[in-house]
Amino acid sequence: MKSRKHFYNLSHRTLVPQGALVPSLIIVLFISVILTFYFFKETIHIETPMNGKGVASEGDKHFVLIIQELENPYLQELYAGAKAAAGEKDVTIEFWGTAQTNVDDHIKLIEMAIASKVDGILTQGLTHEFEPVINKAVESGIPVIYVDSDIENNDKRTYVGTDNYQAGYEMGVTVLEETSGKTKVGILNGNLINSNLEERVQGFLDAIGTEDRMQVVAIESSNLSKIQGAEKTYRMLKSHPDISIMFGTSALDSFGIVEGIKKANHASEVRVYAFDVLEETIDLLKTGEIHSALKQEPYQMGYTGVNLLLDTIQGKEIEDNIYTPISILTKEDVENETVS
Amino acid sequence: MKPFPNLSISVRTKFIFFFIILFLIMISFSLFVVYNNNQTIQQYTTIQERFFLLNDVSQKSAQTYEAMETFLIRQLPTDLDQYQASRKELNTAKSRLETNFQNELNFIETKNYQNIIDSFIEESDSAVYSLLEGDIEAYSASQKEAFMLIGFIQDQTLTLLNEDLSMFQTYYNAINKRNDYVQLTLVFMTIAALSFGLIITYLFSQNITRPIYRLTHAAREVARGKLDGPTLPESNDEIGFLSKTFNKMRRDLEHNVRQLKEKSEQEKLLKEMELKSLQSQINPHFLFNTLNTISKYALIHGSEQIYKLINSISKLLRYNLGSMDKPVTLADEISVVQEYFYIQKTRFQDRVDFVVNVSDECLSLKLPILTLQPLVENAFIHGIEPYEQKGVIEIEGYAREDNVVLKIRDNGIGMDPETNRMLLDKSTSTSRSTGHSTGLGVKNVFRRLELFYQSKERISIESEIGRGTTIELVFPKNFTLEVD
Repeated sequence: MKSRKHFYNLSHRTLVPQGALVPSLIIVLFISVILTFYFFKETIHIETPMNGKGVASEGDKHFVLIIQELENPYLQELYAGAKAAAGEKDVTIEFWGTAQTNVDDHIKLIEMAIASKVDGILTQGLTHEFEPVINKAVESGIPVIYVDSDIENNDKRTYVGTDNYQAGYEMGVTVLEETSGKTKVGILNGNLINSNLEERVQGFLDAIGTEDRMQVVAIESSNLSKIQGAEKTYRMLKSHPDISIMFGTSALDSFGIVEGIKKANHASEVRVYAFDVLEETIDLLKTGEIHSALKQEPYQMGYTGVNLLLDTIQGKEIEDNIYTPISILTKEDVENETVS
Repeated sequence: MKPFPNLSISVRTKFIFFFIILFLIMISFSLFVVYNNNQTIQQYTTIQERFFLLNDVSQKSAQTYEAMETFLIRQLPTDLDQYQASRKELNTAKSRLETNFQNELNFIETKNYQNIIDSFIEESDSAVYSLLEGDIEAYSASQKEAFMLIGFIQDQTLTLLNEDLSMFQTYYNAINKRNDYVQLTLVFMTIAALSFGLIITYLFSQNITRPIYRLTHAAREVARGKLDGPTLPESNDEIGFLSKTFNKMRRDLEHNVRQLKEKSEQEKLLKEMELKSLQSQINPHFLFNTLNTISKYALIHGSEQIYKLINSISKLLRYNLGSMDKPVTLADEISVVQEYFYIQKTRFQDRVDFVVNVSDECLSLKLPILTLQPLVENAFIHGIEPYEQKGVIEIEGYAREDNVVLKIRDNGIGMDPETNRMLLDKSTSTSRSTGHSTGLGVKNVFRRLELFYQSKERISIESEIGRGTTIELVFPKNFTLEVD
């Protein structure tokens, strides 16, 4: 009897806390069911990118833009222009290039484009070495247009870009206007292969050559490297401390020059005349470290290039040389703008 | 809380349902896991196949080139066949690219790849045909070209492979994320299933054990002799059946025990009465004979009054000493009461009046013997004797609806409410009132009436000090005795 009574009491005791047990269990059940469904939905909604067997509707035409330096912001803007035009015209455009200027690889890329049977090629006309492969492309029925830089003495293929000689010349005229008396000039050329850079230098030299007071003391190549540019500038300034004008033929050259001047800790003022306007260039213009910069229109080059390729495919006659506008920017011009 | 109210489902069905649900949850669990695993494996296989395909294309193009070169050098027909075979394989592999490899992300690269392969095949063909036509210059140029193109194919293979690997990286991350979600889903599914199981188990155990607890509790009470516990709730399952049976058993048991008790008490009271009568039954024949002799003498001596008085006493005694366990009619009772009245009237003369006012239809009412007389005697002894003025005792009887109402009314001194209550209280033992001719008290009468009518009678006493007392008895009219 005693043990029975104990059993009975025990059973009663277990009955007591269960009043709170069931509601809390129901809440737990409710929450976990909701979470289960939520996460279950998440598992369903995962995309499987590898699975696409479907063929994306790409444009009818397939062009390739081959440039010398993939990371170059100037050239990337050129690609942006080309892409915009391609987008408007339902054309697929690819952006190929070498990491650094390399003629052999560049030619190989053009060969590859031919092998890939693209419908058109836009490329920088860096050197005469391109001509055989370009001819091969044209023979296989692939139109080629040079953008940004033109092969020297090119009279066969269309060129879209800055009139580099004219640009160099205008820069020279500006230097003449802004200087007086005997002036020593240092020139940093991007590289000696690139014919358009040569043209800029030639134009510049021709412009300042009109007055005897101008004296070019050094022309050096930076190999389109900022570090080398800085080094060359440094040496130039050390051997010719009286240089007051520095002219750089590319965006990277101008940065190299600015860096080199800083390193040389040069006493007298050196005015830097630069080519191409990048974001960094604008900053340097604002601080006055670059005196003025020649602005090209890479976006327009790319844009026009694609349209011209389409025109060629459609059998339209196009001009040999199509020049995009240039302008010379100074501190005043960039004061109120951030990006060119 | 009642777990499953109004559900007429047996415990077994509940268990079956519960297990089915549990199994369904388990099955969905494993299906979910298997489905996810399968999907992942499928994706991995797809990726693998892509890699294999690229490798295949690259190998086939190398084979084609080698076959071409071999043919160019040895110029054997078998080599040409070999070349044609490799070329065909390369073409097949190439066509598979479109269905098994190309997607919206690598569309243009794959297209280039295919075009390069086409160029390669064209150039190889051109080399072979030039050789067959004997154009040495053209074939070596084409061979050179083909060599360059095979390089491009290898390059492009690597590029595509790289791209695929980086795509795979994204996909791998997606799979990992998805696996995390799968794990979380499983965790919460487990928690949900666990809490569901706990709730159901708890409700089940409540559903089953609670009635069992109640049942054991009630059984223990019955074992201790307590039969009037609360009725157990009767649900529709197996336990409910047990409860129902138990309730019925306990009701029957209680009924039987009560009947047993009543019967024994009835017998005890009868025994008591018998004993009383035995005490006065010393020699009734002798007593009656003597009384008869006296009455005749009184008649002879011209005293009719004495004769009548002795006759009354004789009748009264005979009635009192008569058979005790047979019910009598109201008419019998009244005639005895009238004998009693006559004796008392002789004694008290004008100080007391007796009125009997009973309708005829009531006269056949069955009553236990000595019901009316002790009540009237009681009214007389306690109500009228101490009363200084003229007393009236009235017996009124009439039918009301299905009942017979019997009223014994006196205008005597009355009684206080406590005595009143004491008389009606069934729990106190029967009072042994002295001075009664029968030796039977009011309580004895009430108790016998209760046992006789099996509590279907109603007794009420209306009394006020100085104003008299009315005892009202209400009996069912057509009462038939259940127990013999």
